Amino acid sequence: MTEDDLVDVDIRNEEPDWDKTTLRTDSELSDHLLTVHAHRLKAGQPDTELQSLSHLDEEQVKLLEHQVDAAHNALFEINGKALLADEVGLGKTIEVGMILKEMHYRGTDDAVLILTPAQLAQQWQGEMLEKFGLNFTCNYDDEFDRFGTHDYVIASIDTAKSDRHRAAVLSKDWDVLVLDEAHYVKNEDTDRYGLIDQLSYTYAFFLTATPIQNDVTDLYNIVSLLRPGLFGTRDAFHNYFVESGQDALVNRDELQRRLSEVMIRNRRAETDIDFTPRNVTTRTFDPSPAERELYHAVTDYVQEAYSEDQGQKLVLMTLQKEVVSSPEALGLTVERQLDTDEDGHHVHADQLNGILNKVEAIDTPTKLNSLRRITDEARQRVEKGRVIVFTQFRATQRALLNMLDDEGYTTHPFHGGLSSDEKEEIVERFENEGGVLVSTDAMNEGRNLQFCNVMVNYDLPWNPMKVEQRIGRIHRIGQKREVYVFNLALNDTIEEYVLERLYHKIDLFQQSVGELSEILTRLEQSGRNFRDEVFDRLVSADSEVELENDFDEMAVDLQEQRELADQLNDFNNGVFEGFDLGAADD
Amino acid sequence: MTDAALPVTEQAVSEFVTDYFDSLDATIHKEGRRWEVSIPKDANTELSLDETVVQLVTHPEEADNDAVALTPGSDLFEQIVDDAVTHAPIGSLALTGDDVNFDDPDYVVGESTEVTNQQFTPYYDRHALCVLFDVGIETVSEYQCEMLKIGAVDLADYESRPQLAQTYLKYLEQTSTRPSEGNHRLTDGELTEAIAACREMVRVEIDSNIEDIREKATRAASVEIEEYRQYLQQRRDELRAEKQQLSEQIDELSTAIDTASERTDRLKRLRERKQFRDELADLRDELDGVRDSLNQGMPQRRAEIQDRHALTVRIRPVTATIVTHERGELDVSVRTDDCSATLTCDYAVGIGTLSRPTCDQCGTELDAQNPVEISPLKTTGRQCCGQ
Repeated sequence: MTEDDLVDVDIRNEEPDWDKTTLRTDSELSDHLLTVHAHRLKAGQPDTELQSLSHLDEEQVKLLEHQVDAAHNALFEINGKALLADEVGLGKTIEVGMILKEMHYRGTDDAVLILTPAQLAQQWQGEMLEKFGLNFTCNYDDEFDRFGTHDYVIASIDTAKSDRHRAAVLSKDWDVLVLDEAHYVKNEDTDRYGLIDQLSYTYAFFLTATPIQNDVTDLYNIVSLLRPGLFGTRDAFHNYFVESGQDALVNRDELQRRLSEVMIRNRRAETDIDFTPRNVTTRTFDPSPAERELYHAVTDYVQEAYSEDQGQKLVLMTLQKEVVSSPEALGLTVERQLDTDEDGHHVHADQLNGILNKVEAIDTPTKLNSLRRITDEARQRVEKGRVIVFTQFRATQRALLNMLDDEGYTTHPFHGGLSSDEKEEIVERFENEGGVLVSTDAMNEGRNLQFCNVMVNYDLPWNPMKVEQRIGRIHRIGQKREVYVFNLALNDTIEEYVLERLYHKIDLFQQSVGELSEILTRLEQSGRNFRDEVFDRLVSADSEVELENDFDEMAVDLQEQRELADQLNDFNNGVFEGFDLGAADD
Repeated sequence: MTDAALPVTEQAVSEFVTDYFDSLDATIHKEGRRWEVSIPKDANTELSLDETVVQLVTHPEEADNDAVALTPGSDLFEQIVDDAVTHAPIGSLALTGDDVNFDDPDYVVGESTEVTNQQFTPYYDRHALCVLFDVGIETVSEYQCEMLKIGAVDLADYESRPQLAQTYLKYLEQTSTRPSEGNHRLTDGELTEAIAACREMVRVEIDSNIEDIREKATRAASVEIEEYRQYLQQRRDELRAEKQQLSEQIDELSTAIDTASERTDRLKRLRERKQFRDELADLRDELDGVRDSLNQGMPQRRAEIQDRHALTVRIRPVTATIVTHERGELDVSVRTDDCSATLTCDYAVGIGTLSRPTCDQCGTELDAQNPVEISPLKTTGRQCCGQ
């Protein structure tokens, strides 16, 4: 039996439902035409416009034409099982947000599961809520219980496949499955692939800019998860589409035809995305002798305390970040450390008290003077003197606000302790009155501050995603002016290492949106995490030279990840060159 | 052939429901998007609305508490459509020269040549049948679809009339003119024969759809068969290994039985050997079954998969409209700066030009590639005999 014989076709000529006597009962033409019309409407699709679009807040999300087209195509042309494979930075997350919003509007999303790499889960959660008003529980939330008890879940794929959760994830019938960075499930022999293969879902949207990682079999694997049988058997796919002995594609027209049934890929060159230039200035300063002394005291303490008790990692990490942020932030944490000890005497009380003394010895932090120069210049040269200053710590925020208030600036504090309405009012006031907005990283994704074009990173998070998010508040689609980003750091400190050796190595400040997540996800796949890598190097180095070498080593690794990510993008662009897989024109 | 289905927009819903209620002699008091509707008790309908407030909304949840929501996907709209589809499946209409706009012919090209008038003179009526078919392509896999297709044939010779079918659909969508009632009637036999001819037209048209879906279903079935083959091969290897292991255990037990000094020990091992031999027999049976299945091409599983992926194509007529249309001659008056001429061709309302005017000089047909040129004495083709 040949393959052609596998599927029989039975054509049934059915009789009409009408009674032949109708022939002789002359019906009114108008009634007949209504019957014809009714049949045509009955066979018609319910309106395939994206009905939820008008319910989106344009302040929160600016939709681009290719994104709307992709969402429409994925829902109505591809019938809800799509591989969204836009080139990096074109907004695949936005496309999925629109799809989910539309499904929510139409009531077809009773249970939705979004699986992402661990480092991106919370970012997804924030974007879905802020931009689309979709409230998901994340597996990192305190209120997260089990997969079975929540209907809208964002989770890291590795959590979902873990022994603890796997059964619950598989036992639920999901209406929608979203899989971010889908190329990480390309390998059919892995637990991840097995999980997706066994999941029960009705609609699925897989996201990746690089569906092909090693060879074109990756494409077969991903597509077969979404549409089993689209490419036939693995052998049939290889025989027909892959040039024998090489990794090149043949029969490209047929491949394009089949791929277009499941895959949407927009190219940057064909979209109307246009970012204004971004100017990044990094200002490093020699710390004052008192600052240097304080920094060494804290670093010594952190190294020593960590070698004794690794359970304190988070607190120690905070101290190490605060020492380069502000004496106020550091002092507060140290005091809390001394206060919270149960038996009234901290093991390192002497060291901590010594640190407090050194905190008090600092008069005006060096960075504060530098910030003043930037805000002064902005007051003279920028519309309404608008500047946004980011810091990680509330105590630093208060110190900055005090200084700026004393200097006569109009200031606006923005932090996570404010209600949504208060946040809204503050942003509005900042727009109208100008001056300086001092914000913690509670400023979320959806917040649109493109009316401002000057930003200062007073201190730097050890998480490049957060830096990208900060810049993204002002440098986004719709920003019409050049954007100025100032980074402040003290020489010979952890901040300088992170900034100069790591962030600049991966070109963090000049990357297009989306490239970073690829690099970080690659890092995560090799079992590492940016923040921990930084901290571990800091606490384990025995000397200044060793520390520098360690950071250089990490920089080389990051650069390698970046180059690999770039190579993959180039490779995928080459493979799909000439393919028209953009969203359909309506 | 395009699908005859219409997009179900809010406007389409509003217009259709209004027309349908009117046809039932219902009373409708409209206040914006809130309508109070009452359908007479004796109306020929399953619908029952008595001073019911129907509210046009974008989403059913937006309707007021006292109102029934009307949206493209609402229950009410589905009930109305289901009611309407059964009412008058067969009808008759007439298309005349007054019902159509004559497009400028393609052989008039260039700024200096223009059409000044088109005059249609009907000579006789022809009758055709336009039939809507509900077409369903069904398979257990996801590649199934529903379509509404149209076929049209001339009732004199049962030749297909695709252009008339398209005109019919377009004509029904016009709201400005209402067609007039036709008076032609068919016998049962004529209707059956004409529907069969229309059905054949539709079947030919959907061949490519069927083939496309068949290809996809075939690929899906092949993957299933291949996966099952791999499963059987894996199972065969496992069974071989288990069989080998059991045989070795039986051999060891046999040796132990031969050398056993105690009777109880020997009996125990004999029982064990018997149990192992039973297991070995089961394994052999299973292994034989797996081997046979592989050697014979897994007929049972193949049949199951084949059955599951089989396509059933249903073609069912749902409405039939006898379309009486005029045939005659169309006079097209054409003018240039200094001369004019009239070209005549056979024309059928709803179908269009049946013949093309020709070049006076060589007889070549005029068309977009060979447009008309006018001189005081003759009309010629620019390409064939142009100056």
